[in-house]
Amino acid sequence: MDRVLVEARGLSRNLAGRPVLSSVSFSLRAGRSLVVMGANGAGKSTLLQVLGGILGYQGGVLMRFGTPACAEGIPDGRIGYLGHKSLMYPNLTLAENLQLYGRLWRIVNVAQRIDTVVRRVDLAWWQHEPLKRYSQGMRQRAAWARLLLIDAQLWLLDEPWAGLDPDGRQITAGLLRDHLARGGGAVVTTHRWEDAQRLGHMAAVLESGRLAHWRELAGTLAAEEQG
Amino acid sequence: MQKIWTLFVKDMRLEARQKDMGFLMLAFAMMETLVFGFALDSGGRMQTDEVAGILWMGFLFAGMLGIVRLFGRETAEDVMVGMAMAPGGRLPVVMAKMAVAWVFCAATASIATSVDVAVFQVPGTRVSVIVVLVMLLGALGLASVGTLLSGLSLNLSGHEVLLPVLTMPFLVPVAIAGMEATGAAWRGGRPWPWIHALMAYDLIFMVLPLLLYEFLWEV
Amino acid sequence: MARFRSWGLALLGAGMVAVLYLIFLGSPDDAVLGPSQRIFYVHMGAAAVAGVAYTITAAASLLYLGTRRLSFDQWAAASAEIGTAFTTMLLVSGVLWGRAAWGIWWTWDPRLTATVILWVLFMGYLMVRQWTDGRERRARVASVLALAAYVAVPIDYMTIRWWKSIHPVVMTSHGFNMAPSMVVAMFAAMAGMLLLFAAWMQIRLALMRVEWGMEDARNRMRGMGRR
Repeated sequence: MDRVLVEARGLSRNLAGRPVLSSVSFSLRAGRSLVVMGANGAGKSTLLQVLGGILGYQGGVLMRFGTPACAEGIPDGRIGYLGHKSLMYPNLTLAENLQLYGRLWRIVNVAQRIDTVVRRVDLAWWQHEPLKRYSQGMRQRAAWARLLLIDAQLWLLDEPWAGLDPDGRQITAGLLRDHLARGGGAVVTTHRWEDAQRLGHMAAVLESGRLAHWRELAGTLAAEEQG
Repeated sequence: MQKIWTLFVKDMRLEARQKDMGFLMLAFAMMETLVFGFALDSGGRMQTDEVAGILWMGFLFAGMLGIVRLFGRETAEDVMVGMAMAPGGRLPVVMAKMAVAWVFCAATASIATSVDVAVFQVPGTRVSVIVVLVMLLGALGLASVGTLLSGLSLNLSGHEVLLPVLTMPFLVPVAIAGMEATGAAWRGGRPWPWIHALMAYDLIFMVLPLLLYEFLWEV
Repeated sequence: MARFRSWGLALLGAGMVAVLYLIFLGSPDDAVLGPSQRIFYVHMGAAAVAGVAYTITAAASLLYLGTRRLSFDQWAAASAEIGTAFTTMLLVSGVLWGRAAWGIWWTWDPRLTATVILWVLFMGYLMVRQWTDGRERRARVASVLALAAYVAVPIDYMTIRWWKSIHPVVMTSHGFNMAPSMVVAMFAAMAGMLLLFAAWMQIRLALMRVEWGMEDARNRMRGMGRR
């Protein structure tokens, strides 16, 4: 459980001559989660995208799964990213979208896996509807289904509870808990301190491009793990 | 390779469902033929070169229509991010898009050729092996230039307006070479120098996206 | 630096006078075309500068993509702007000469067409620069575009050698198709124009650094105001 999944040292990235990230440093071990908080426009989403290799970075060191990641931003199949958008085709059904992702990630036994994940996010009845007919909350659940399907070790969740109803929050919180219990890691951004306390092992605030106000959390999650 | 094929099949399936790209291009090319047919209304009085010109103009504009929409399906929900994050990286994503664009352009070109030949009925114009070859090469030029520029301008604001303006000068050489080669083939002249020029241009713009694909989408 | 610049400008001025002397007094009228021949020297000079300028743009773009240093992007932008100005000069002088030599202002000859395409391509490049926000994004997009547009430069150069064109071929592998004093004037004109380009480039780069500096200052002030 002591394996380091992702480690950043002095990570920086400029946009339009202005530093968005300047000297972000942290390390995340397997089975742990880091909650990143911060004001709008503080660079939370940018941080996740840099960690995921969607964006490049300009300074510092980024290690993923023990190997240095290239500064240009190279994707890695072991990373699961949940962004503001669902990353799925609105004109395909959820099942078709998941099939596509399953094929891209070369998942064996795709049909069975899809069946499992749509059940877990409680969308089994809707899986053969095109995504464009989904409500905002259902789309978020669908995005969660995609995340579960590709079976990544490191989750990068950008406000994963946005638009979800209480039921959805509970389901997805459980999913995150299971993921961490199985030895996965997660970096999560959120605005709500309650979420951070409930689900994070560590929390930090992203402020003028760096992580500050670190706090170790012994929230409900850790308690449940022990109990 | 498997990733290219998966993505290619996916785009074809979306086309079958939405008919928003290949079908649109084809419809546009047909309309264009129709308009020229009305405007010129010349049963056999037209020259072979004029038919070649009309054919390539229609093809060019239909191709532009497709190029502008090439990444349109992905932009709404940021699907490109998901595709790029999949194992195998970004190169297969670019190659799959190029293949999709080529298939649609080639289909539009071959159907437009047959229709133009049938509608204008100018002696000498026919669908020969050489003409089909020229069309396939022209489609390749459109597809490779289009993939490069469409991918590049994907995240720019106002790319729907920017892209046609930007693409046109890059496609003019393709259109000129294609027009000349088609005209020469129908006149019984020598199309080969133009076909070679077309091949060289295609090659340059096929290699360029493959060299620069890393820089196509980020930021 | 300022001293060096004034010396450079003095040298440029003297050089320009010498070139004008060679063009208008030091070389003979053409046997067929008469005094309109003298347009040709300006034409050749502009062509040489356009070729050099676009080559610098392409090289700087390549270096930018390799190193991600924005100073290369400044070089590419400045050189493309000036190169486009000289291409305009090339087209205008060509049109005037064509009227005198061929009796027509314009014809869709391969060389002429290729030059217009080149001009439009780099106009497009400058337009994209104008419309794109964010220095890094603009630099990346512009660099890729510059490399694609540069394809037209060698094609333009070779058009009169590959295709049947009515445009005269001056430089061949067997030497020059001109009187020796004309060759002297041609090279003098090319050298003079290149000097002009160098001076212009220096001024444009200095101006661009000022522009960027002002932008930075403005951003910093805005940041202060928010805090």
